[in-house]
Amino acid sequence: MSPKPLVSEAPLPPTTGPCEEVTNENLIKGLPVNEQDYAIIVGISHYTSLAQLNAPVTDACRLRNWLIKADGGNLHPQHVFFIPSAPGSNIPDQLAIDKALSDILQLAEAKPARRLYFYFSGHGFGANWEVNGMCLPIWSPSFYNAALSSKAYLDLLVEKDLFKEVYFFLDSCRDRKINTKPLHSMLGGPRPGGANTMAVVMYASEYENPAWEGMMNNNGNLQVHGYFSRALLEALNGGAVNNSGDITITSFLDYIREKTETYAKEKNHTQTVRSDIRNNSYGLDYVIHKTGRTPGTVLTIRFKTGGDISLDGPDLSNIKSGVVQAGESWLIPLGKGYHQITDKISKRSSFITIDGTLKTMIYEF
Amino acid sequence: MNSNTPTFKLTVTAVGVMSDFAHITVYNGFLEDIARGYEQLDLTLPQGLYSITLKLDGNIIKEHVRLTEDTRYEIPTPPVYSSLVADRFESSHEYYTHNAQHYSLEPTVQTSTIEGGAIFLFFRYTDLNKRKELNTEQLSLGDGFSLLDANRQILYTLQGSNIREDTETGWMAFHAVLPVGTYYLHYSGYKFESDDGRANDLPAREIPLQVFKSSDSLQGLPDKYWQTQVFLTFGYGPIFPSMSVFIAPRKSGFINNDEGNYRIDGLRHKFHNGVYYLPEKVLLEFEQGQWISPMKGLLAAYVYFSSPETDNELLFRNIAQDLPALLGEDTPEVKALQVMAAQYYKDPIPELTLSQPCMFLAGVRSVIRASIKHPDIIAEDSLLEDITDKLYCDMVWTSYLPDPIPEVKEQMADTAPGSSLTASIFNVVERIIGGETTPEEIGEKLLQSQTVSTLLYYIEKLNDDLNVNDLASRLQIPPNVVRKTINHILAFSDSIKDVKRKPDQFNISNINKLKSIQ
Repeated sequence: MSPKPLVSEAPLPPTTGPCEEVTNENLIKGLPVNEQDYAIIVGISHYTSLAQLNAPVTDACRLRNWLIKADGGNLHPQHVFFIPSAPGSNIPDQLAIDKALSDILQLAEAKPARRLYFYFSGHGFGANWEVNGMCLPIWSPSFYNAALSSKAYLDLLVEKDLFKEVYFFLDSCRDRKINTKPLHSMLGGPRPGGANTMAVVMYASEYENPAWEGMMNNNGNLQVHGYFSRALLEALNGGAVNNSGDITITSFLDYIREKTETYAKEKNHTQTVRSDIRNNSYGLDYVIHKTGRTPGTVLTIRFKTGGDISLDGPDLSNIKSGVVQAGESWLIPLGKGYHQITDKISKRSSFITIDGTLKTMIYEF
Repeated sequence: MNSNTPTFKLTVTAVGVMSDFAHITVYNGFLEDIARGYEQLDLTLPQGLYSITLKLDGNIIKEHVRLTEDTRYEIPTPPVYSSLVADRFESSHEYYTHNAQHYSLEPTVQTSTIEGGAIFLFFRYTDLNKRKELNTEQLSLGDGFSLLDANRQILYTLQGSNIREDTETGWMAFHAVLPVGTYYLHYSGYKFESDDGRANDLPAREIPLQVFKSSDSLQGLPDKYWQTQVFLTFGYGPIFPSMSVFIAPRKSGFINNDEGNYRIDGLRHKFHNGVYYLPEKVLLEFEQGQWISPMKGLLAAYVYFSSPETDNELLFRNIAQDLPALLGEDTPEVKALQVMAAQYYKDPIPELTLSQPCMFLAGVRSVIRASIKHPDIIAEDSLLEDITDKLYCDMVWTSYLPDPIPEVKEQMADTAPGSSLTASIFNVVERIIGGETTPEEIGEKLLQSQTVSTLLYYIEKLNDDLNVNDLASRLQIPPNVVRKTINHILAFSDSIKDVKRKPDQFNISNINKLKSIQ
């Protein structure tokens, strides 16, 4: 058997391009990194014939950076293949993506692999409910099939059986395009066919529906994000942790679904995340990521009117109560969950949701 | 929570139309998903704050609950819109339902067939206001539609005295009593400008429809002949993915408050979205052997065989065995389902041949999958073989980009006779190139074929392991169709080589690769 390339010998991933440079501090400190994990991150904002998108490259950068950070995915930077589009260019093409995939597969064949993240953000369409076309920059009515088949790529990754887990995220529209045949990977060849790989698949929207991007206030910074990608990053950054500080498959999917719907609704859109899990022998409580942090926020409640106020927690335990005057504020640390604030005099009541991502929050009652 | 925390019952129920298909999720106060299911959840939970999410038909309803006593929480289902003009749908109106009922019992064309099944078509807008907004000229909804027989000859155009319609409220009905067999609803396409000024092109489409008859030996049915009912909603043109198809006893016609029709529509809608869900009530009906609606059985079987579930294997083996007597053993529908069932149970693929498409796209796709290893399952040069690379995948029903209907082709042959070379070329690749006449025109049209261009893309990019089966799998078409397409390209390679602005894929290297796998 011919020697396979080791990590240090592997071709360098594409340049970071528009992304800020990040390092994995564990590598610098000589601490362990997740050497068995890999990622292909594709963000396509620039198209020859289709409208330009604002979010894909930005969102792809954020995910790439999370994957590399020590307190994020803790991946070796050379294991993260970042493939952005560029203005005035037709890259990436299918070859660029297949080349990255091929490099990863070679590495995974050489040394046992645990996890592969596959992320695509850009224009897309639903060829049918299970096949999404991931549009390449050259896609146009003349290059009608210049899109990658989500199902073919996912099938390839699962059937290769080289990874224990595959996380497949698609932030693209699933509007119908009829009579299309999105492209399969060029990486054919014999497939072991074991298909034991667990695959967690998330589509940003249901079949036939668009996925939206919009201007969002991200801790004071105004940026355009895909609703789904924003929720995905928030989930990974701690929004999806349970009360043990773990992100499980369930808490991860629930959080992204809920937040994507919320962000869409805030802009008068409807967007419902579609998820599928294949070959899950671990169970839905399988821990995807450990944060070691207990989620919560410091909440400022500003009272617009006076009253006799009671604030209850998720299990109805009373957190704080008392008479307040108009203009008064409460500053209270709250854990992740639903809380209910009630004015005993007017019987007015409201639910407050603390999702675990915000460090500070102001609520008016 | 500790052991002293009081617990209470929380019952969450979806009430209203399509409640069987309303998906409910309950989250506890810590935002953890603690229960999910359809229609009703019965839970015993510690006191606390909870939230409930109900999803149905793209609508999402969220509610918060403070649980301090046994609580029964009912959530009305949101309004549902459907092509089916059933009483409890928001988009049904008396001016539609009444006429649908009426003309499902009264044929709009007189035929010589007395003993037979029937096809009933009902097209309409969502309401009168939409008709006024989208069809100011009050054009007939039958425009561009024809009903073809099994040989693709026109039986009826949906025009004039063949139909009944009211262009004011916006509906059209067609009803013909017909012999058992396969028919095709042909649509010739439509170009229009939408509100935003964009030019839109609704391409031609053809949809197979089957007229069924039950076996004479089957007892207890209200009628051995069935009426195939098609409901279609219009926007700027026909919205095909909205199409609902039902199979009802012919003499009963359409019943607008039939509870079973809501379930069929719900099943179809979930199936369309890749959700393989079968409500308990549907399964119970099958267990009790209720066969008033064969469509429910067909749809449920397709749903079940598409899913990885194994909970009801025996039940669906029985259903698959019952359907031939109910709908006819030789129908494409039954044969395709037998193929799909064999794939599901990992049984040997039955030795059968299909020449016509079935009504369910899932059935056609199963047959195409089976053809990779069993090419004889699709009859050579049949209509089914012809359409495998022209399938639309935007609805649960089979539909495809059709050849022009015979009159159109004859007309073209009369007006544009070609050279002998062109004539022979025309015969060989007629299905790809349509009505083009000169080699240059044929070559250019060939280049525009999605199947040809994608096949050439793969040929160029793939260096190793080029074989027909791999290409068939990538293109999702039978190996025979790949072979024929390659033969067509090679047959035309001479005429193509001089075509201006030809794509790079048509180079010597690729043509040689094609020859090597021919």
